[in-house]
Amino acid sequence: MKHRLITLGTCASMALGLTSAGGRVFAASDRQSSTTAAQAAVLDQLSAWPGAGFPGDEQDLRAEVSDRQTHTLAIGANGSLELKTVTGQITCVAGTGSSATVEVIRRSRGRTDADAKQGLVDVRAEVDHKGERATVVAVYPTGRQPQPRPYSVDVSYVVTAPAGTRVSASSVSGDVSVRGVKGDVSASSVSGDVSIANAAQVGAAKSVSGNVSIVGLASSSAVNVGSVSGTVTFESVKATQVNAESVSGSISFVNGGTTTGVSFKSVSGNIDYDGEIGKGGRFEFASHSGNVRVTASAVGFELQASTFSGAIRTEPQQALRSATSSPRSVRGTVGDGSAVLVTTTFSGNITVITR
Amino acid sequence: MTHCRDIEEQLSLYVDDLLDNAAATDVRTHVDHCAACAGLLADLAQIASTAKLLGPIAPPEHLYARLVTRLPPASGSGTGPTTGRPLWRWAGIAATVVAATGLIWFAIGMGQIDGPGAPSEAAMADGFESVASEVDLAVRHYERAVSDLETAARVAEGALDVDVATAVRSGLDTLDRAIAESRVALDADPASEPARISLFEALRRKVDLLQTTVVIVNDTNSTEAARPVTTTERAL
Repeated sequence: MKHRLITLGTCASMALGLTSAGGRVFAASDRQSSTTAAQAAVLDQLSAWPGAGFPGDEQDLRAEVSDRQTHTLAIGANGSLELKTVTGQITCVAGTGSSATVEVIRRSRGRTDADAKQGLVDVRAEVDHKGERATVVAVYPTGRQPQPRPYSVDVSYVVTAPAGTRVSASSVSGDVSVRGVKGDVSASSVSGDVSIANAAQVGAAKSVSGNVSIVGLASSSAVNVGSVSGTVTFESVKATQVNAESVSGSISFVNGGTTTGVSFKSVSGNIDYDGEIGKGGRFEFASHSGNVRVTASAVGFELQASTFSGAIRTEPQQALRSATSSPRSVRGTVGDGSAVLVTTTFSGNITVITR
Repeated sequence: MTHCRDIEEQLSLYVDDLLDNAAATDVRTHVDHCAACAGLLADLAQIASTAKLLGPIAPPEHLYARLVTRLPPASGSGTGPTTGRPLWRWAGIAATVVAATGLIWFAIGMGQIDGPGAPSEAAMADGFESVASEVDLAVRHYERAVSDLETAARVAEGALDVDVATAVRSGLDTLDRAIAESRVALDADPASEPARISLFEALRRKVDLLQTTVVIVNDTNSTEAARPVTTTERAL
């Protein structure tokens, strides 16, 4: 049977802005690439969607079979591990030694036992290991089907990797969790939550409808985090630059992480930053209708706060020197003014507290 | 035959005199016979001309990182796009978006005319009028980039998982409200920097979300053969 490597993880990652230039992308079809017929191509693919018109429902899938396989991959202490799945969770924790162990758990549900078993035959995890680099990718059957296949298969990974491993993990509808890994971590999910704990470098962490949390990060590089409707949470984070975006989800930075540059942007979500304002850094907070609250531990900063229809409040007021203020704009200097703090909202309220 | 979409991607480079002779000739030949592209070229030339008068406006560093992630790798490289790669189909739109994003930063930057050496009130009044005009221009370009994505995403939305579809729909509604509110505000106060920033941020995020939606659906179509659709999802 002809198989197609799952591109969803890769391309969903690309959609979420996670794919590196070296990321390998596989063909999803043999159609001629055309930027002039992009819309037609999407419509064409939609009409060919094999899931459309399936007569059954999830509750029809009463038969279930599962399978577990463990792969030991000698990628070295600082190797690279790429994990991609569609429906399934990814859990990766740091271990010792120079090998990663990847337990692949496949769970297939079908209308009959035969259907469920066929799911395990058709859907598998492909492991590619070359030197210090390994990739584990869920592989689904491809090709136009007269009817959707009568099974549903989840492919999950439970991974223990050497602490120095670079990890890239993506799932479409499952949660992704990476803990204790000190190599560069990129993690994404479309509808699942993404959580990264005790890492040393986070290149990117993104979700569409899930929450994203970064806890206990000490990084010398930039961190890029985003969600559409989920919340974005930073706790005890230290990094040179932290960028976060959301549409309706809130963004919070708590427990006094230190950064030298921040850019938090939301549309309707609230933004709450409680941390140090690093000397010489630029800290930008912008929301359309969400409230922005900055609690700054700082040597000093130049404040530029403006809003169209919200309110601006600074505490304590006497901390602000050389202030020029109107109901919709406040500018002034706190301490030595070495950093820049810019907050902008359309209708959200702005509160800046100095301590 | 050269298509408008192909030419649109080249226009910014043409204005900046960065095309080779053959490509520049193609552009000239096309715009000689295409009023739409000729109009777009004129708009871009106007912006470039105005921008030169203003001097450079540096976008924040992280913007470059964001743009790089959205640009396709150079052709001919070992990791170049594979024929038929779903995301690659959107490279043209992405290129337009990148150009539009540049215009937006330009438009936002134009509003930041205060500080040391600020112009006189009369000049400010003229400046605001000019800014309003340039903002309109940037919005038009951005909306052009959005339109294809929006149509495709609207159709594609039904193929998304219910949670994701809900998030996308809610996000787009939120963004549309933000865009509408910002526009009304700018109509009332064309000089309002918060309103201008909100408008362009919302437009940019809308493009981001539409791109994400289309790419996810593109890939979902090709990979979810083994996941039967639920009644709830079909209802979407």
